[in-house]
Formats: sequence, structure tokens, C-alpha cells
Amino acid sequence: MLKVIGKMDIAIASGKGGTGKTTLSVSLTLSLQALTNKKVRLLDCDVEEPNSHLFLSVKSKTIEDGWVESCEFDAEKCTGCNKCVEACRFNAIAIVKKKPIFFSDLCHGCGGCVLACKFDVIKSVNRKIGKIVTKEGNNVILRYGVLNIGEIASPPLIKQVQISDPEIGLTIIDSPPGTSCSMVTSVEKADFVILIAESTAFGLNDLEIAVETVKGLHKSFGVVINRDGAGDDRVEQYCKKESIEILARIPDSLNVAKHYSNGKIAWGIDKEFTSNIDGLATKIIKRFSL
Amino acid sequence: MKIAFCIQEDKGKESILDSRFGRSPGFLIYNTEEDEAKYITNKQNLNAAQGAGVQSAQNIVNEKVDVLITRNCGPKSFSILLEAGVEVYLSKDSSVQIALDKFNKNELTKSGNSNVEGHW
Ligand code: SF4
Ligand code: SF4
Repeated sequence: MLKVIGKMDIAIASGKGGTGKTTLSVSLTLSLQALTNKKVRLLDCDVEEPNSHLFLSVKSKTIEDGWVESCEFDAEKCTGCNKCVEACRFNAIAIVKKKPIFFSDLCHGCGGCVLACKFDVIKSVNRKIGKIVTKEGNNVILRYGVLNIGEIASPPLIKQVQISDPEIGLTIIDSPPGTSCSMVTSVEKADFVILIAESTAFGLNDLEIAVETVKGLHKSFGVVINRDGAGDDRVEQYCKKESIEILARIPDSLNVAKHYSNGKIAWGIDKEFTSNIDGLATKIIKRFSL
Repeated sequence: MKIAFCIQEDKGKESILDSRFGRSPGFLIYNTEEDEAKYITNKQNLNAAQGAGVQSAQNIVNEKVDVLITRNCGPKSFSILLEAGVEVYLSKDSSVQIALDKFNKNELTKSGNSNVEGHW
């Protein structure tokens, strides 16, 4: 597989939303930046609900169009031969009375129909589906995508967020929650995956699914237990049984939650939280000799 | 007139109606003038990752069907059928024969819209 992004790419993922993924991504980025004193990049791949930018003091650098490859039909020329319908593995085209009916949301831009049509009806085009924003400040580069409302295909936009930059030593990838194809697209190119989970019945269930997904992608990974102490020890037991490394335990803290709801990340403010995140960052720096 | 039904397996007019359209295993196409029923398979759509309704609608359109009797029809399928002038009637009946009888007695509701959300 094509290796990407920067020299070392770490994805942060969770089986579902609301597990503190944004908090962890942002604070780990800040901590790694501070401890290495090098530029760190954060790619917020949750294009349906990007929110990392709310917690970082970064300034807008560029805004680019996010697009997906799609098709356009010159319906006048269509002979109704049906070849494009047969060629489309994604069932994005129907032909009725020599008239193409195209469902752009089903199209994956593979170009199969363009090749199949002998009558020059179809051409490949780029269709705008959102935007990509790059911001920078204090040696942190943040890049995120915003998917237009009504669009459903986030992977093409995520791939554009994950633009390669071999100059950057360290990249943190904030993956969308869940184990959908958006999550797979986000973690696919990472060198290491951090799964964040809460130790509750639901939390464990989501974690197990996420573990299966990253194992299927042949990724090395570890677990961060968030709000440790708020639940039970079932995640701890599970990790022990499955020989999964627990990278950090972030204690349950009202203070951290308060900061978050005020639009602030507790790193650098809350002492205990900061030292926990710094501990995790130090582990990462040592392990990957950053 | 040709009437299409979503069915599980071909047992002529005794065939059991399937509740799905896009992922119906097959269609029974009944020709009213000749009183003849023909089966076409829709198997290739059972495992389609997406757009099964689009392909099913295309299959129906290719058979030059006038009426489709189905339990459900999503927005994409409906737009194709509408374009092709295929009338969609909704039925929750168990077999082709029962639904056909009701259709002949004008007891089925004609659908002016898709009745289910698509899922893709
Ligand atoms: S580009 Fe590919 S997916 Fe899109 S309509 Fe053509 S064949 Fe289908
Ligand atoms: S392959 Fe080209 S000519 Fe044939 S049905 Fe498709 S668009 Fe029309």
C-alpha cells in the first residue's frame, strides 16, 4: 500500500462518538509539539463534524475545494444501448427511453461508464462536495474537511484532507467515530492507531468492534482508557485477555469536561490531565524515536 | 398489459410476494392479454453493495412493464419507473393471485411517491 502522509502518522479512533476523541487528538498534538519542539500536523478527518479547530489557536491559511470524480451526460447523443448501465458496478445509472438517469450520490468516479460508452455521451468531471481548510499557529498545522450538507461520500474528502507532506515528522489523524468506510479510510495509512474507549458495557462493545477493524487492516495499535474510574474494569480485563497494550488511563474529571464545554482543551490548564497526556506523548516519542 | 410482481421463487400465479423491491430475488411478469407469466431473476442485486433499487427498476423497465405491484419502492427506483411511465401499485398481499385479483377489482392504491426511504 502506498505510504503517505508524513514520516510518522498516528491515527486516533474510537468505536463511537463522544469518547473524548477530539480532546485526546488536540491535546496529544499540543503535547507532542511542546515536547519535541517540532512542527506537528493534525488532520481532522471527521468531515461530517469537524471540531478540532474550535480548540486550537490557529489562523486560516488556505481553503481549497473538496471534490469527487463524477460523470456528466450529454443526453442528446444517447442511443440507449445500455452499455454504461452494464459497466457501472455501483448501479449509479439507469437508461429509460434513451435517456440516462444518473444518481451522482452513488457514483464512485471509476470512469467505467466513460470507457463503455461508444457514443461519447459521458465524460468525467470533478464535482464539488465540500471544502478543505488548512490553518496554522504555534508550530501546529491543522487540516480539516467540511462535507457539504446532503453529500454522503466522505472518503474522497478524507483522502484530500490526508495530503502527503514528507517534511512533517509527525502527523496525528483524528478519525471519524465508528467503523464505517470513513474510519477505515482515515486509519488506513497510519503507522499506529490509538483506540480510545470508556470502560462501560457499551464502551467495551464498541472497542471490540474497533479492535477487529484495525486488526483487519493489520495495524499496530494500543488503547487509551478515557474517564478511567467512571466505569468498571471490563476494558482493562479485555485488554489483558487479548494482550492489547493500554497506553494511558485518563482519569474521570469534571474539570476536563468543564473546560471542553467552554471551548477549551484541558491540556496546559489542568495539571493532572496535562501530565497524563504528556506521559502518553513521551511514550510515543520514545517508541518511534521522534 | 404487463404487470410485474416481486417474488421469492417462481410458482406462477401462486408465487409468494417478496416484501422488497431492490433486493427481491426475482420478478414475475404477467401478461394479461395472453394470460402468461414469465419469471426474470434479480439475483445479481441480492448482494449489490448499493443501488439495488436502481438496477431492479432498470430490469423492470427493460421488460417493458406497464404496472409494478410491490410492497415497497424507494425514491431512486420510483424516479426511474416514473420516467418510464411504469405505474406503481402498493400491495401487502401474500401471493401474486391475491394481489392480481385486487388489482383487477381496483382495490390497490396507486403510489404517487416512493413509500420508503432509500438506504445506500
Ligand atoms: S464513473 Fe463509475 S461509478 Fe460513476 S457512473 Fe460511471 S461507472 Fe458508475
Ligand atoms: S453507453 Fe452511452 S449511448 Fe449507451 S446508453 Fe449509456 S450513455 Fe447512452
